[in-house]
Amino acid sequence: MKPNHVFAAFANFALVIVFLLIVISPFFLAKNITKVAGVKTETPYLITSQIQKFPNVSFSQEGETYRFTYSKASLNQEYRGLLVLTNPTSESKEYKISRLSGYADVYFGEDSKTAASQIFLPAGSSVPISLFSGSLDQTLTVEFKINLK
Amino acid sequence: MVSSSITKLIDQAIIPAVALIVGKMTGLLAASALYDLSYRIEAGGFLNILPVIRFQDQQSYLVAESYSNLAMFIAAAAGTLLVIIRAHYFHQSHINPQVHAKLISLNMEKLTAPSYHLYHQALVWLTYLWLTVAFLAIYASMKVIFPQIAIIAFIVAANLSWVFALDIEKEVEISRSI
Repeated sequence: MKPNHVFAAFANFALVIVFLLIVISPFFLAKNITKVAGVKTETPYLITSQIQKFPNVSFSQEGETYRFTYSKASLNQEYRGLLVLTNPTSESKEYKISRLSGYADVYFGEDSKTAASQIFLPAGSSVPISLFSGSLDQTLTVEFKINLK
Repeated sequence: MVSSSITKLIDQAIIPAVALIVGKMTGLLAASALYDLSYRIEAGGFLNILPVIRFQDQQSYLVAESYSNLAMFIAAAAGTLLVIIRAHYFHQSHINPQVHAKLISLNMEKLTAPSYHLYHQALVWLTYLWLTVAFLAIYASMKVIFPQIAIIAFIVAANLSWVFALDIEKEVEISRSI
């Protein structure tokens, strides 16, 4: 095979790819805008704060990271139902809490003995989120994320 | 070396691609303005290049998506229609002599086109048209747009394809008779 045949084959193949990319690009753009707009309309979960019931705890959010800062009255302390997570969608979903930093357990439910970092929630139902700290420090911060599993 | 047909197809594909994108964006903004939909335009779409248009509720989203995709289809159908009109009335192989003479007298002979140019152009526009119909059908099945839009789009695309097929038949008859 002559070298120019190899080049021609490569060039034609590349041109076909370019043509397909040009043809697909408007649909990709249209789909991308649709997808992003659609995601906004269906939030995977809703968080309701109950933090006003706990004078020694503050709650903040930065992007998708949630943060509790609290001061304890005893060594082992549990804060039950700091937040309530609701599944607002029309289908069941499984959620997972991932701790990013801090020495405390953040879990679904209200009992540290049966603490669950993952939970399966039917459509429209809710679950409390609680915190248990057994650390020696009196003032602590814990950061966590909530993801769809 | 490089296939002239592929080069021609690429050359002809850019304008329809731009037309579809402009149609989609214009439709999105026009529907939002006409129906007074609340939305936000934010940065941070695909690769942080594309804008993200966020609607507050599902109904607003449905209306905006329906009319913007309809506008995109209208852009594709209008382009295809122009090519078909050109193929029917200004095709160099079978243009009416009187029309041709009139065009020359008006210094508008550029409106006429040879089969090579017209068929590449038509292939590209029809590809976009049918891809848009497929796109609308998928969206209608996902209940993201009104299903009537996909049905109308299919009927229009089928008719335009049929009219274009008539032109190809005429071209084949001419080439047989020569």
